[in-house]
Amino acid sequence: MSISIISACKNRGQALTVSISSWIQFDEVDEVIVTDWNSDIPVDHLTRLDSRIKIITVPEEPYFNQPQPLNLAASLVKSDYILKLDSDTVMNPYFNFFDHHIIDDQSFLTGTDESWHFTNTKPNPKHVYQIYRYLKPLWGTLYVTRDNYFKIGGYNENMNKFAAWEDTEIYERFLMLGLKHVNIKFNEKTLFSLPHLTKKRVEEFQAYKENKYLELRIREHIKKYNNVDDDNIVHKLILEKHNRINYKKFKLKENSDYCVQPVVKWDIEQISDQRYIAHKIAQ
Amino acid sequence: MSVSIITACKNRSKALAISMASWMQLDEVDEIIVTNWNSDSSIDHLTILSEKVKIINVKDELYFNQPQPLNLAASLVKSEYILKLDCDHILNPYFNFFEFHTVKENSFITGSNKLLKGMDFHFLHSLWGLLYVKTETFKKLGGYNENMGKYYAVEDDEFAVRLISYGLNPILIDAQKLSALHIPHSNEDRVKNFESFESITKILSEFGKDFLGDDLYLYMIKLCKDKNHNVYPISASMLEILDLLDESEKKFFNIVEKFDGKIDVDWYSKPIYKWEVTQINDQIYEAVKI
Repeated sequence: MSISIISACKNRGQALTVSISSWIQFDEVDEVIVTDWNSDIPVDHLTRLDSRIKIITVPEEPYFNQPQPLNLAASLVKSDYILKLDSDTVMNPYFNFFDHHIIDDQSFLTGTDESWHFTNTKPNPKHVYQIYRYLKPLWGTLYVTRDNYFKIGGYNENMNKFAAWEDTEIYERFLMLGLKHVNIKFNEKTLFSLPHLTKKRVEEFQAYKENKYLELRIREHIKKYNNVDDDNIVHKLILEKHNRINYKKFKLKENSDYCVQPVVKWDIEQISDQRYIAHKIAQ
Repeated sequence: MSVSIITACKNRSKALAISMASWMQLDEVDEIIVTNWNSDSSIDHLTILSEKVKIINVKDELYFNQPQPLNLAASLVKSEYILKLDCDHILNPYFNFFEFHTVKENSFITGSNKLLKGMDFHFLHSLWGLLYVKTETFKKLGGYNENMGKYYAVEDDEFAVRLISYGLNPILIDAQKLSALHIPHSNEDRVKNFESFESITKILSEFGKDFLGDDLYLYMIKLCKDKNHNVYPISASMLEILDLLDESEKKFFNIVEKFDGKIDVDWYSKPIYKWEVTQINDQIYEAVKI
C-alpha cells in the first residue's frame, strides 16, 4: 500500500512545521505534497526535514481557498491512496492512524460526522466543547484511493471565495459515486488538530477580506442584542455565514453529477527533486 | 529574556521530533537541550531541525528515569530561564506560551495536577511535569532529586515542594490557554522504560491482580506514585488525588498538609552523579558517569 498526504497552506507555516513533522513519522506515507498558496513566509525550507516532502509554490495568489491547491497537489500524487490533511492536523505517533482506519476501492474516510457526536461514547455535555477544540476540525480529513479521487474530479474548484464546506461537498459526491463512508475513530486519538482562534479559519479568504461590512454588522448586532464583544464569537458567526452561503450555492441536488470539472489548469515547473512552482494557465 | 528548554528521552524520538518542531519556532527559546538516555535508535538527526538543538547522548543505561538526564541537560544551560518539558509536550504555535506565562520574582511555574476530565485529560492533564524556573534557582536547589530513579513519576511534585520550601510561590500553568498540549498515549508508554516495571509486574502476578489492558498500567502508575510519595514530601494542596483517598490511605503518604506559602523541608537535593561530558560537535555531546 502506498499513501500520499496532500495539504494546502497559506500563512500557516508554523503549524504545518509541527504537523508535517508528525506525518513523516509514518512508514506508510510515501510522499507529502504541500501546496504553498503564496504564504508571506514561504515553507519550502520544510523539504529538508524529509526527502518525501514536496512543496509546490504558487505565487501571486492574494486569497486562500482549499479546492484549487488540493487538486494541484493531488495532480502530482503517485501513490495508490490519498490522505488529505489540514496544515494543523497532527498524526499521533503513539496511535497509528493506518492501523485503525482501513479503506478500499469501495470506501472512503472523512471526518464528517453528521451525528455531531464525534466519539463512540456519548460525551458528557460539560465536555463537548473540548471535542470541538481537538477533534471537530478533523471534519475536513479525507482518505480515499487515488482512482476514486480523480473519478469524481477531486474537490470542487468553484468553491473558492468563502471559507469551508468543500469537505462536506466532496463527501456527498463520494456517496453519490456509491462508495461506503468510513468514520474516523475519534476516540482512538490517532489524529488531532492544533487548537486555534476561529479567525484563523476565515482570515485568508476573499469573502472575509473584501467584506468587512459583514464583520462590522455581526459585531454591532451581538453587542446590541447579546451584550457580547468577543472576537472569537464574531468570527464563528462569520464562518457560519460563509457555510450557509456555500450550502445555498453548492448543495447537491438529486440529479447532480458526482464528477466536477477543474476550473484551473496549471503550468508546473520542477525546480528540484522536492520543489515545484506552479502558475495558472490563462483560459 | 533567554530560555533553555530541557528534556529527557528514551525511545520516544517520534513524539520528540514533533514537539521539538514546535519548540524551535519560538523566538524566546535560545536552546533546546535533550538528554538521549540510551534510546535504541540515535536521535542525532534531530539536530537538523534547528541550530538551537543540542543532544547529549548517554550510553549503557538500561532503564529510564527523569531526574538524572534532566540535571545533566540543565548542566549545559546558558540561558536565564529553564523550561522543562516532556518529550511529548507541544508548544502550540497558535498561542505563544511565553505570552501567557512569566516567571516573576520569587515564583516558578509548574504543571497542575488538578484532575481534568474529557478530552482535556488526554491533551492537558499530562502537562503536570512542566516546570518553568530561573536557571539560578534550579541549580541552587540541586535540580531534580536523583534518588528518584526507580519508580515512575513524582520527581516533579518533589521538586515543586522544595521550590516552595526555598521560598518561591508556585504558579500553575494556565492550561486552558492551550499554549501547551500533550500528545496522548497509552499508560503502558508511561511506565515501561522504568526499572520498577519488571518488579511491579512480578508483584502484580504474585498477588493475582486481574487487570486487563490499560488498567494494568494505570494500576502500576498508582503503585509507583505511592512508592515515591511514601518517601518524598508532597504538598496536599497540590495533589487533588488526596481528595480521593480516605484517612487510612493518607497516613501512608509523607504529606505537607498545610500549604499557606510555607513548607519546611530541606530544599537542597545533592546530585548523586557526576558526568564527564565530551563535546563531539556544535550540537552533539556524549556523557559518561564518573
